[in-house]
Order: sequence, then C-alpha cells, then structure tokens
Amino acid sequence: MAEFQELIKNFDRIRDYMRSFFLYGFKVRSDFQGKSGRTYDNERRRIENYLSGYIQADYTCKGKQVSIRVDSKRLQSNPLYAAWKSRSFTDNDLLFHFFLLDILSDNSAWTVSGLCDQIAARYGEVTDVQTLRLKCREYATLGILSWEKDGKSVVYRLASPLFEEKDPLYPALMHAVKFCSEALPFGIVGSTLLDREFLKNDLFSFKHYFLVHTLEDQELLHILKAMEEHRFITFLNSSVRSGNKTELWGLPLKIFVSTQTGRRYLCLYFPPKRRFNCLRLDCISKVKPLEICGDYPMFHQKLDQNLSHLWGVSFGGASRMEILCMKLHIREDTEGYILNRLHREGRGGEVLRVCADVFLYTGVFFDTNEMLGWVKSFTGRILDLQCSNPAALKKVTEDLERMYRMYAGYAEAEAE
Amino acid sequence: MEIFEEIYSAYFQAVQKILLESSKAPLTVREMEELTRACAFEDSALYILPKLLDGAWSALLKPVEGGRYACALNAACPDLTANVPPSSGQASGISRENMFRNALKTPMTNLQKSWLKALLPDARFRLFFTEEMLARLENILEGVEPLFYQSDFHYFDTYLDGDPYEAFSYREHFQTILKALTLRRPLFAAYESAKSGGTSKNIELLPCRLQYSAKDDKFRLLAVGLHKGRAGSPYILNVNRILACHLSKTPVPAGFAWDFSAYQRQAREPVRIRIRQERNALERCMLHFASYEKHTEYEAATDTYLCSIYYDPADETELLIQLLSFGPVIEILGPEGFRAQARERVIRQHELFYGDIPG
Repeated sequence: MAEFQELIKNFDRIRDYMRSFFLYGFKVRSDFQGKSGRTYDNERRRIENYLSGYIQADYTCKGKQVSIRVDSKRLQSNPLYAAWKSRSFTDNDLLFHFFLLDILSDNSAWTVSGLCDQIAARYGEVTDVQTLRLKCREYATLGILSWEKDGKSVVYRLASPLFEEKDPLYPALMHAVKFCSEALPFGIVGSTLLDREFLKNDLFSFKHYFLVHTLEDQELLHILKAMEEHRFITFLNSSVRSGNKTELWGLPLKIFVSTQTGRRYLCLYFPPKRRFNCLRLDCISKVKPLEICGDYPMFHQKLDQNLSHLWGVSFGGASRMEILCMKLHIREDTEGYILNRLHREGRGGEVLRVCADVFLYTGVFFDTNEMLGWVKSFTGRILDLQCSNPAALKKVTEDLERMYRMYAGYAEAEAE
Repeated sequence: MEIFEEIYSAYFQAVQKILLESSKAPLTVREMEELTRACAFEDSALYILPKLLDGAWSALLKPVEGGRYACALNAACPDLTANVPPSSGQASGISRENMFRNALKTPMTNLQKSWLKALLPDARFRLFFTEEMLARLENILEGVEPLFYQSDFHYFDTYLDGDPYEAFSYREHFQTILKALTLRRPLFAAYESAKSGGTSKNIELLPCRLQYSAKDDKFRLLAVGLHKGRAGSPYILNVNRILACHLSKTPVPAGFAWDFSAYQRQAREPVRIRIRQERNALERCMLHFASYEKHTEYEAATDTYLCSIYYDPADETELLIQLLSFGPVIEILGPEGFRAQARERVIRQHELFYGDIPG
C-alpha cells in the first residue's frame, strides 16, 4: 500500500474536493460517488493539511462532514492558493533547483557537463548529465535560465533580473502585488511573487471576495491562450444539475465575470447553433485548442455589439429584446440610497421620477428572467411591475405571493 | 504556461527558508520544523526534514556542533566561497545580508513577468505608482507578452458608481494613505460623510487596512480614530469621500496592534435559512454566499438544506436583500429579528400589490 504523500501530481482531483469542501461543506464520505473511500480519505487528509486553520469537521447522522469555513473579510490571502503550491516532484528536482541557483548566482555560465562537475566538486553529488540537461531546458522554458551557444556547446546562466538591487520601484511593485494577488485575475501568480520575497499581504483586506474561483485558473489560462490565437477549442462541460459530462466545441470570445457572486463564464460562439452562449467556467475541464478561425474579429465585434443588451450572461430565447418596467415607492427625502441603488445597479436602465416618491425603472435586455433576482431585492417597494415576457412576470409575481404565504402565514401562526 | 509547477511548491519555499536562515546561523531541528510549518503545510516537516537531515537532500545542509545544521551551499554562505572558481565574478560590493537574501531567489518566471505585464493597463494597479515609475515599469516589461488583456474580461454586474481611479486627487489620496499604512503612521483626513448630509469633518486616524470590494468597485479605509493620543473608535471611510489627507506627526499609542479585525464584529447569531431543492437553489445559494462564513447541513425529514450564515451586523441590510432576491426557494428561519424584517417587507409588498392583507 502506497505511503500517504501531502503533494500531488494531478490538480483536477484536489480541485474537485477542495471546491466541494469549501462551497458545500455538507457532503460526507459516501456522497463522493465514483471515487473509492481511500481516495476520499487521502484527499480529505491533504486538504486538512493544506488548510489546517480553516477546517471544520461535524458529525451528522450520515457521517462526518468536512468543510472549509472562512470569512473572506478577515483574510490576508486566499487560503485555497495552497492547492497550487502542492505539486509533487522528485528528489532530484529539488536538489538541482538549489544547486543551479547556488552555482549560477554569481552570474557565471556553464555547460551541462560543467554544471555536473561543479555539483560533484561542491556538494559531492554524482549527477546524471541527461537528467540535468532536461532540468536546464525546463528552467529555460520557464524563464529561470537563459542559454547561449558557446562554440558547439550550450551554456546556461540565470535569467537577468528585471530589477536592479535597491530599485525604489520594487517596493512599490510589491505593494501593488499584495493587492493584485487577491483582487485581479490569476492572483495566484502574484502570491508566488510574494513567496519569492517571503512577503505577505499586510495592507489590504477584501469584501465580496469569492475565493473558490482560483481553482479554475489553469483551464482559464488555456482558454485565454486559444482566444489570443483565435482558435476554436474543445472541452468537457459538466452539468451542475445532472452531473453529466459532454464534450463541446466552440469559439471562445470573452470571459464574463460576476463581481456579485464571483462566478465566471466562458462566452463562446457555437457554430452549429449559430449563436453565442455562456458556460460556467467551473464546469469546464480538459480544454484543448483546435484550428484557427479566420473570422474571429468579426465574431468578437458582434459580441461586443451585444454586450449592452445583456443583463447577465443570457442571450435570451426567440424574442430578441424584452422590456421590464418597475415602478417603485422611494421616499425622496430619506431614502436617497435606494434611488442610488437603481442608478448603480440598474445596468444602464432608465430611471424616471414619475411623481413625488415614485420612480420608474425601465430596462431593455435580451432576457428579463435574469433580472428577477434583482427585482425581488426591492420587495416591499414595488408599486407596479410590467414585462414584455409574460412568463417572467408570472414567475416573479408568483414568487412574491409564495413569499407572502411563507412569511405572513408564519406570523399568523405565531400570533395564535 | 502552467500555474501548477513544482517551483511554486510550498516545499521549495520551506527548504529555501531553511537554507537562508541556516546560512545566517545554524538551526536546530525544532527551528526547522517551525520554519517549515510557516512556509508549507501541517505535516510537511515530516516529509521535508528527514530528507534534509540524512536523506536525499542532505547535501544542502551540514551538521555542526550542538545538534544544529548550517547551510552547505556556497553562494549563500560567503565563508564557504573558497570553492567558487575565480572566473565566477562573485561580485564585490554586495553585502553579506543581500547575498543571503538574493542568492537563492529564483529569477522571475515567464508566467510571473507576463502576469505583471497584464496588470499594467489596470487603473487600480496604476494607483501604486507615479507616472515616472509607470513609464519605467513599461520599459522594463517591454517585449513581455501579457498573460491576459483587459478586454478578455467583461464584468457585467459591477456597480456603476465605482471609485475614480484616474482622478488626480484620488490617486494622491490613495498614495498618501498607502504611505501611512506602510510606514505605520497616523493620518489626518478631511472626510465628507454621506450620513451627515455631505458636511465634512477632520479626523485623525490610525490606518489599519485598505479594504477593496470588486462588487462596489471601491476602496475603503479601515482605521481606528486617534483622539488625544489614544486609540478610539473604528472608522470605515470611503476613499473617494476623503477630501484631503496628510501624514500626522502624532506618536502612535504604545502597543497599538494595527489589527482592524479586533474591531470587526460578528452578529451574535448567524442567519439561518432553509434551502429548498428547486430551481438549482442549493448550488446558487452556496456560490452566492461563498464570501461569508457558513455552515450547511442536509435535513432528511424535510429534504431541504439548513444553512447558517455568519455576518457582520454592518452588512445586515445587504444580506437581507440578497436573501430576498432568492424568492421562495429559501426561507429565512431566524434570528427572529432578521426574519421579522423579511416578513415586514414581504407583507408591505403584498399590500402594495393587492391593497390589503386577505383574512
């Protein structure tokens, strides 16, 4: 039986378990179907090690449920970045890393056989030339080493530093990295930059911070590469509801981001359906690039033309544009903040003052269904609601009625 | 380019830290365990230390007297540089401290440079620099391909009244606040309070953190008031409402910890909600409230999920309207005061639509 190791080769598995422990936290061992109990035990133990200060275990009638409990407002750094820093390696990988940095730190350049000799002379270690050559090539690809021809030989040296010693720009850059490593895309990369200096974010905190989406970053990187090269992609899409996985292909055009929920979506053009569609990034895996699309700029331009008609991520159904009008009661003298909400959250919809304390919001979008959550956030103020999509109107009015029965009924029962 | 690379591994980080510290002064095993725990994971010392002490990585350390271990690498230990060939340009003029710090620092990878390049056009990133610094940074990163472009992303629900990051006064105030934060110095600020009808007041503050919200697209300064030389009440100030600010010469109160979390509150009871299994409510709820600390359990008797959401009372109204936006697929169970607020709004809504509560 293999000994338990903290580090891992395959990110996909830890991504799934970490996501489940963080987002849901109510699943027990038997809920992880399709995986052996031993796999669950190993992944749970790893995550408990990576996130030891954030793990909570509870015992229910179904069994032990493990959750990652975090109040994101109190964090300095995203604890889930630990998953990215858990890749396994061989003994030689680590030894070569420090030998190379040590030998080359004086800006000297060596051939691979020269490096082998240096390793033997300095540290008494016998090194296989071919293994070290592969490591040097790998480090050159990563940008850690640079190489040049010296006659027939290739010599390696450390890549030139971007900044000179004591450059006043560097501390300012590190302050910026402290912020960007949590607030901007691919923050994990910034976290590795702070690690280089053994720095931690001690300047910023974050509100409305959705930590889990870092786990999608590798797939996102592959998608962005395909977008840059104007390529179609193929990928596996997992249905959240059924769990079914389907292989799809399309032209990736943009990443849609919700700052209110943290969700990210891939917006693609699907040639067979001849339409744009958005899919959740956390449901996408195994992205592979395909051929280049010659008409990429045209599709991109068409998407850009459509952006102002989207409330969220839905391009709607058969009827292209839908109108929603909401008349609200807002006390002008004391409730200016509600009026501000209409302006700042209305995504470009029109706000009109109808009469004293009455305002009309009108939005024209592809899919008014997406607006219903926002409409319900004004519960208690809606004087009238009209919508060109009767199904959406019926849904929201029935919801408000159900809520009334749910809460008012409870009140009456309590009063009795 | 890959993010999941061994060179970013916590184990590499831990070994590097041990080598750096042991090049300054030999370390005990206990000290190495502590360094490992600080840089890597809970049980990492169990895997790393045996390899370093007498296993596959033992060439990196050498035992010295008193059960301690010293770094065996040459460049990190100037005393051991006798083995370095003369051609090696061991630069003179580099201090011992700098040598310690820089010898084992991995050069920035292409991924890291490329990420920095991608940040350059971002208005929030640019807040940290002067125009001259930005020009230099652009020059330094010339030729590096950005990891992404701003146009790759479409943020569709960010509030429209975000901070004016490019305004001169905003940039100036941001940099002054940043300076106060990094130097741990008090700050004088003239602040326009929204609650007091736009009147301004002067406050002396101990700045603890800049808080950023992507949803609001705003920075807020989390600070503690400084009154007659003593730390007072906590303040949360919108940076955009700061009319002027400068560093103060008032001494920092002895023992002040610069830790705002001591002032952050949590409601005595979490909000408890029942999530019904319809319209994918469970998944939507779990994602929507992922920024809060929460605890969820399945209730077999009702085939629903019970979720407790822990929150700051300052965010109560925001949480309430978020919960209402889910409609009837979730029900607020308590605390009673919280549920009463939902009930009041729902009943008021019914009255607005139908004029009366039916008997």
